[in-house]
Amino acid sequence: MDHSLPPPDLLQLLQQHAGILHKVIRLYADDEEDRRDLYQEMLYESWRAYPGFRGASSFSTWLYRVALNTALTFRKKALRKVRTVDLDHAVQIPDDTSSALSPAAEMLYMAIRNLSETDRALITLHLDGYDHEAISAISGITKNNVAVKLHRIKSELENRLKQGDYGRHQ
Amino acid sequence: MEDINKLWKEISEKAAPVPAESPVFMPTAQNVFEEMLRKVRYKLGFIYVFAAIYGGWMLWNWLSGGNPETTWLLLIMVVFTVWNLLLILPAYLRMKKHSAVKTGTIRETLAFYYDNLRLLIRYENRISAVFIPLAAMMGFSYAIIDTKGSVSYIFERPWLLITMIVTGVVIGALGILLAIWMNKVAFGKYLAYLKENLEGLER
Repeated sequence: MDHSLPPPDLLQLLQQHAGILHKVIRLYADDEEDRRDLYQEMLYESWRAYPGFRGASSFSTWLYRVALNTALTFRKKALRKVRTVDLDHAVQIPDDTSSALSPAAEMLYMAIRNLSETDRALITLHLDGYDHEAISAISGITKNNVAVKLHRIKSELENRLKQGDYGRHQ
Repeated sequence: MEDINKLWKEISEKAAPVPAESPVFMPTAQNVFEEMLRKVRYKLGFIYVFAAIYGGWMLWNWLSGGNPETTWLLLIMVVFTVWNLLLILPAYLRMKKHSAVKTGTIRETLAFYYDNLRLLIRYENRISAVFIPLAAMMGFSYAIIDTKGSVSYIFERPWLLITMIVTGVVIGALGILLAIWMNKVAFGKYLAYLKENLEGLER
């Protein structure tokens, strides 16, 4: 593999669509160390895969695919070593995304984070405007299955938001 | 649902950037698959080295008129080392070619990681099961040839033959248990995590 610098157009595109990476990272990584690792991993995977990008889909769809696949196969710190609780975690320092949100948005954010990892991917794509066909193409499950799962996930989210039961922030 | 969409918009707009340690692009993050491939690459390196050592030793023994039984023993080791190589090399090359670029569907990517990690671990265990007992028995035979002059010394004494086989079986069993345990410690949780996500996608 060529270990030269990434092409400038990729850097520019990554800068333009950085929000996708940040959003996915915040939904999947539990602490700052994992977030930084996952961010590096996503940049690395984008750089590795970019020569194969032919523009069959938009860059944002392609990046979503890479970001979600990377997040779902990422080897988290908790899986790499024995979980320990340090002082920062013991006093529950909130992450900087949730602290900037309104209480209702924070509740939704926490409720989504509390879903299973694959459900998180599906609802994220749905909320970002992808239709069932596009979600099916990204996830690899049938359109019908996407529809059924999204219906279930949305009901679950709505119930949690109504009841204020959004699970504990991980 | 409208509420959720509105709230999601807010989350999207306010998603704080992840603080990078350095503004420089650094593809240094850990990648499990690359890590496994690297491990297998080291293993292949060892196999090449052993094949060269056994092959060179065998030729030297043969050309210098050494004990022919030692030459045969070394030839067997060369054959098994090459067999070992044939067992692992095609799988390694196949996986290297795929390279696990993450542009497929989520299901394909999860299945690729899950299936191939399991395959690599299975190969590792198989190699431990085949190679370690054999190497132990060959080492035992070599020591007898070296001190008694012929491997027939073992075959004429059933207790020595049994000792050699038991040595091979015990060392082999310990080797495979160690390989299974080490892979479980290193990749067990990760495999379970991949399996859970794959099943989650289907549910």
